[in-house]
Amino acid sequence: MTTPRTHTFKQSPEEAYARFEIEPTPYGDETSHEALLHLLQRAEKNISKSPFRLVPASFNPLDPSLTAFPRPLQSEWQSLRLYLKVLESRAVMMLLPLFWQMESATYRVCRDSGLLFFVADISNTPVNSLAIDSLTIDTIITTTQDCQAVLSYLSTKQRNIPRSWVFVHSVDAVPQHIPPEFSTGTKVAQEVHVFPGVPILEQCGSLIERRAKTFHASDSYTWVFKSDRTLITSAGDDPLPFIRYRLPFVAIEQGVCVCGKAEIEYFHE
Amino acid sequence: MNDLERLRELIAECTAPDAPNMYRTLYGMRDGEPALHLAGWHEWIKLPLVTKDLLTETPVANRFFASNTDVEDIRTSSGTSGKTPPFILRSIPSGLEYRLQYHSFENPILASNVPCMPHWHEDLQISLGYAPRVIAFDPIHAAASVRLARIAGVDAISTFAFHVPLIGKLMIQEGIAEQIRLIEMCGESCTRSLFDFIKRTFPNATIIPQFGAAEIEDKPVGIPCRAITGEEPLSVYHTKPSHYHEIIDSEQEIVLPYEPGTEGELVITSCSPKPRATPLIRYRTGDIVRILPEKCAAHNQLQFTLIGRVSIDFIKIPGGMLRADETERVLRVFNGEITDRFELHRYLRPSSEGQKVEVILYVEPRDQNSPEVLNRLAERIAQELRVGPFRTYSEGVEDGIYLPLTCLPITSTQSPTKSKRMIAH
Repeated sequence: MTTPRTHTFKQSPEEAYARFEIEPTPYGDETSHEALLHLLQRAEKNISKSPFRLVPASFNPLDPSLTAFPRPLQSEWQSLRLYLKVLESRAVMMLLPLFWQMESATYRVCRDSGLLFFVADISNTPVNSLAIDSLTIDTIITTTQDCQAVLSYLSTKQRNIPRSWVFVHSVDAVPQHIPPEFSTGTKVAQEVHVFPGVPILEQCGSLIERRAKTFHASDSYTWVFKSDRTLITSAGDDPLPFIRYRLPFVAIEQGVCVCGKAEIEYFHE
Repeated sequence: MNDLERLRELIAECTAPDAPNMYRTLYGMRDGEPALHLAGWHEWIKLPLVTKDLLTETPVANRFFASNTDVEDIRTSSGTSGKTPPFILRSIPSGLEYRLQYHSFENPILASNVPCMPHWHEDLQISLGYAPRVIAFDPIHAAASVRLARIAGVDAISTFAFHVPLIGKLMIQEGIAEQIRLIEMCGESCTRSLFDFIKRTFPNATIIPQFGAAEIEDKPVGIPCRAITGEEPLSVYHTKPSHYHEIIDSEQEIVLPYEPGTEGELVITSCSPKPRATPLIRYRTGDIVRILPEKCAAHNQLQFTLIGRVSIDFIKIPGGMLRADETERVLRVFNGEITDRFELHRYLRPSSEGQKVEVILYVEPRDQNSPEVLNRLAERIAQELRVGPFRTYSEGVEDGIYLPLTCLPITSTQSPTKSKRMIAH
């Protein structure tokens, strides 16, 4: 286990939370998921008063407690930029639920990288598979669940499987890794999001090359690894920062990657 | 630069020896032949028309005239004839400044992927000096999207016309319908019943139409002359400066005079600013328009209104579309009881849960046409009739989106031609 690092806010948690006219959890305690949701719900009425991007604070559209998590206007999906470079992508399909609010961030990375970008209709697998052929899509950004739907269809139609995939895992889902249908040449980058569009565990080129089940902790957070819990605190400019937020899994360091960062595997309680 | 000079330049660019070969093939040009030089209007009107079928049959690489970085979005059209839909690469749209006279776009907007992608709305807000705040509307998870829209404080909506009833219902539930100041609708003409619904649901909203098409990168096809106020015709447009419009007799493919009273299929050529990802020269839109007697008062241009499709073989509905070929297929399943002649009418009926789709299918029974027989037939047709890859009409009824399908006997006055089989009210 590593020693907890000192977190460095650009603004104090108190200042950040004051914008939303709410009190943070007293420092030193951990913030449970329920407590965070409660804070976000209390912040709702003031979110529209300041300029933020919003993402849903749940991966489940039917979540009765669905609320919003504010993100800085300048937030970018930096890790995707690396993945698309490592995967040598040329044409990208985004196959993620639109309500996750990830279209804009994905488009900007693809545009800056000079890649074609197609937003798939998640309910229309036949058209999506046609797009893979017509647009020579070589990279699909999706979840493992929706990947299976595409693979089943492609298999039925005896079509080729795109060579590169980026999997977005929900923090509360048991990770499913490489589908058996993938050939040894199929490359996969994976990351874990705490909310849609908020990555906390990422991969480097080496982990992608090795098809590793391990991740690196995002530098956007400071981490506390304990034997029975894992906590994150926002280290960057989250408008409503996580403060010792307890993740729904226990993360364990599994050595050091060639890139110099700790390799992390996680297990749900 | 006059129209002919602009078109001449466009033709030369699209038929250059190193250009993608769609137009060189269409115009029957030989390898190595220099770019086509348009001598005058007499040659222009002889140029073959571009159709959706041609786009479908032409591989993307042969009709992609820009680089990847110039592509703002990729669209697929509806696939109106049962064929594989074409995928259209489109560069950044131009000529959408007219929207600013109706709304400031300072506050967050709820935006579908059409007519413009959510990121495009963000770019517009940034260009106007505002924070980029857009909530992407997800029709599959509409309630979740509208929940986020409420938290964001949206005051505008940009979406398909047929999504407006659902959004309206959800915004009433979230208590934000009255804060909406702008509704921009595309995909189909605003009907009187939809207009009435919007005025009731969003009393403070200005409604503007967006006439575009998935195949046309230089959207919109026409610029709205005014907001939709209830004055007939509800949606009127004038030509965009970067477009050259022609109206043709769709059966004989003869160019008709562009003057008040003319009615025919709109053919457009887009001389949009470069880069042009998928330039269209003499593209048959499939839309029937009528040029109105009066000029657009605000813009001093001839104005036109959209009156239908050349061959309506599909009607979009929430959760999918009603297709003529699919309807025909299903009717043939019941070949012993009915012929495949039909006329399908789609209505939007108000209900306590917002508007619902109702379909009345006029059919030709071979023998009995008692109400009981037709009622049973309607149930079976609804179970067979697919409105999307994963949904039948009856599943839409179970989901509470559609009202039960009704079958009635067709009369001699109905279905005079195949082009009038699918009617949206």
